[in-house]
Amino acid sequence: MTTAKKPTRASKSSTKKSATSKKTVTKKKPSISASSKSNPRTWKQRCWSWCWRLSILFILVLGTWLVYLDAQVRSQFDGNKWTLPAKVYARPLSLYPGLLLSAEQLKSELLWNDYKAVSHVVTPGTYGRYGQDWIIYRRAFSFADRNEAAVKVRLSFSAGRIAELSVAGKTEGLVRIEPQYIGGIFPAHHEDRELITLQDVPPALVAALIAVEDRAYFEHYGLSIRGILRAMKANVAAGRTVQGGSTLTQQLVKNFFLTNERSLRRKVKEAFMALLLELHYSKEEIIQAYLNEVYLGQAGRRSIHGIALASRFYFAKNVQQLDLSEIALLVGMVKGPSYYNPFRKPDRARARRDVVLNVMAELNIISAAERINAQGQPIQVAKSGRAGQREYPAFIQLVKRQLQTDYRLQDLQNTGLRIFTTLDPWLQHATEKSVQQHVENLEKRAGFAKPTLEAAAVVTSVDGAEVRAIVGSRRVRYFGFNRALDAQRSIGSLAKPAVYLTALASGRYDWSSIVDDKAVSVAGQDGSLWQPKNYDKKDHGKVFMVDAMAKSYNQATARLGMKVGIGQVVETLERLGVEKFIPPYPSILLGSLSMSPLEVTQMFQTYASGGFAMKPRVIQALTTHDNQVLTSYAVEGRQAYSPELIENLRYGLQQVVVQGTGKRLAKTFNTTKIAAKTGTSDEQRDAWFAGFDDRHLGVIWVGRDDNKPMPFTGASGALPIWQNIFKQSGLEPLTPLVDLDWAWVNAYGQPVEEDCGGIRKMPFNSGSLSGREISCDQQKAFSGPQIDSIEKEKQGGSSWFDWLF
Amino acid sequence: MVRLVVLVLFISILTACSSVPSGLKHDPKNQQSYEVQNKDSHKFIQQDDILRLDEGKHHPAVQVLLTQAEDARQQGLPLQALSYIDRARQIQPRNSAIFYRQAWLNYQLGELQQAQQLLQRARLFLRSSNDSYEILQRRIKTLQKKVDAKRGY
Repeated sequence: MTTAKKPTRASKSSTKKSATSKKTVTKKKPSISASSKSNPRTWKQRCWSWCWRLSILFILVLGTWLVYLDAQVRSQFDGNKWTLPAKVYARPLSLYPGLLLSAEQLKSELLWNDYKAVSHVVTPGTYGRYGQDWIIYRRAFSFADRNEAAVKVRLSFSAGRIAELSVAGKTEGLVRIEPQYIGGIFPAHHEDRELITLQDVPPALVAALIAVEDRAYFEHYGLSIRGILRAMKANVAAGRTVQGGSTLTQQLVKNFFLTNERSLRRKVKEAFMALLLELHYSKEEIIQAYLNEVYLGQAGRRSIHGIALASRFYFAKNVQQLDLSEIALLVGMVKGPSYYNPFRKPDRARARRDVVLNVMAELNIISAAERINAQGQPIQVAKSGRAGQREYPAFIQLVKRQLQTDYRLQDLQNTGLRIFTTLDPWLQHATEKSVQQHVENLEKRAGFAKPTLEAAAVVTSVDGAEVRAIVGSRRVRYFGFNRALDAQRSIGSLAKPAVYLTALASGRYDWSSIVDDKAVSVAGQDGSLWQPKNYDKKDHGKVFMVDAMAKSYNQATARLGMKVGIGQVVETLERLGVEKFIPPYPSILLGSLSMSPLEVTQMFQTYASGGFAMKPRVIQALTTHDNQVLTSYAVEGRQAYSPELIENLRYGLQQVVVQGTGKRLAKTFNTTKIAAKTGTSDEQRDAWFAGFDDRHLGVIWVGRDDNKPMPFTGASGALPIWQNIFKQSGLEPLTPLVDLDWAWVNAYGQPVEEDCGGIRKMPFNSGSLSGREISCDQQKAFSGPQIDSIEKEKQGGSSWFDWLF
Repeated sequence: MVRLVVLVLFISILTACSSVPSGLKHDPKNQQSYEVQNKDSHKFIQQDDILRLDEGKHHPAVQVLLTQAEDARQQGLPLQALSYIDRARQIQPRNSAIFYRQAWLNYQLGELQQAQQLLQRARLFLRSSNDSYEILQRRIKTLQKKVDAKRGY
């Protein structure tokens, strides 16, 4: 070595010298040539010289590259290693004395939350039912406002309500079941994971992983020459790749820093990075990272990473609760999560599990008896499509949209935020089921090919506008176009209550006012004529205003709207919460106005809440991944209309159920205390239904994406979906917000004293009756309508008898 | 035997004391709250303002949440206190006393417009059948005056 270097050094020094002389004295050129002639270099010397130079260059480049790799390894491995998607949760189920709750709902919500029914309740995540009494071992959970430990809750039911509630023998006023996970806000790669520390992983799992994937893990420094040679030998013998020589560290490097590219360059990089990783981090840190990084399957668009999430996904359990069979299966799946997928290939998964159990027994991680016992167990996995692992696309999209007004999308996708929402899983399931079933029925009835019809639905709470359920398509798992939020469809008669509200608010009309349902013709500025017709193509003559509303008469509503003023109706729509531009054309009176189901919900919310205009709300609270509250939301709104006026309008909406287009609801629910309105757009391109009881408001839309007509109206197309949802959730009849004055009215719509020829009893704003009621004597003397004011629409026919017949 | 009887009696008395009034427990429309601990003593209560969010006697679940709200308020976490009261509102969506407390807290936070709107809700759901009707009505009026004064009306 030494002798070889000497001539190189000499030549290098002579080169240096000659270069210097070349720089300083150019005229000395002849002496240089003389020198080279006198000291001729052999080809060997030249070769050595170049080798040396290239080696130096190579070392320099390698060194620089290693420094770069080192920086890359450390910067990515220190601190937050993963981009954590935001986790979205439904509302927690609050249990308290007096709560109306069916056993079916409680059972379903527990199952959706991965609780298991057992005979003896001893571990968190289990429950038992003993007649009217239940014991639920609630898991520990970090709620938005506080961390709560696991508790054993006892509750007893009486007449469908919770009668007693206790925790550890002590009476409690309120207990929450942890909320169901309903989806995430993922970055483009859709990686999902739950982080776990090594201490929380069962030692058997770690031991099994090392035994199967890298037995020499604690002996090597990132690379295992023995492992590589062994793999080579096995591969050569088999004539194909049957074994990998990568250590766990290399696997982590490949998954964490590199791609799946199969090239020498990637392999070399992987090897160096593995060495660097081992240089800087302990074996424990590396295995912990591996356990969190490892890919273990796919759930729709979501890729399952890490042992913790995989454990929840495949077995509906925490890692700590896994038994030996499950541990072996998870470890076995590392080799090929898709190939050994226990949902699709249970036999293959079982065989792989047994191989892992054999290795574990061979290395004395488990005893022979434990191996035999574990191998005797069938492959038991939780359903992959179960509620607790399913996503709710339409709702998640709304969550994302509402949050993006306050937060950057990047932060929502990467920082592991926890989002607590208003979704009610029970209502959501009812809504999904109802939409899916009914749309199929409609298609069958119409003889449409499947899928022709689409649907959307929104359900909110009447008092707080919390969105409890939302469906954006008949394909409820579909992450594409969300019709509940984005479909702009003509709302048809759903606009009519705004016309009647404008009339009532003007003080010139009561429900008993007579309106004329006869042909109407309005000339537009361009000379075109707007001539709306009734659905049944008939004129109904003079009718009570309330009947025109209940039966959804187009001509009467158009006439009324023109009288109260289009501008006033537009103003009403805006006050009700419609935020878009509304063109002041006559046709808007009959709903020639495109809105999404969510926008319609916002409008109807004001009727449902007694005049309190609120935006539908989906977020309750937002916390960081370590549970620092970033924002919590409470009810917000403005009193757009007086409760009295809205109560009066609600009478009209109830008449839709009593005698109008929503009549079948009265029969189904055995009550008329439901406020509702049907809507059908021109040529039956859209079928709508909006209605509310004392607790919830539901808005349903059914139509075709190609906007072609269909043989359904709001009553036949959308109402049945609403009906099914409320059947399952339970309907609570409306209670009055305020007391209105009631009076009998005669055929001309005039209030009369009791037993004086009144034909209907109707509400009036309190105080508005004073001095208007006609006495019995006046009524007898009364022979016809008095047109006492142009404003009053109480213009009857020749007599009430004529009016009736 | 006598001891056993005495013990049973004693436990029965304790149980009776600890249970909530049946009117609160099974109030179907969830609207009842007592503004004072003892409903018979409200004639002697002069305060036109609450001092604590958890004052009075409420449905057990609402009581738990109002207590948590008061704790949060005392810890200087008024927004968290508001979220507790909002949870109480979701349990009893038409309880005037809860809306009054939401308005009261909004007033403390300087959210006058919101306080004003919530007071309207409190008034809407205040029923004369409520045992604390008078006192709650007086409190709502007092807070309304304060809100108006601050808003410059």
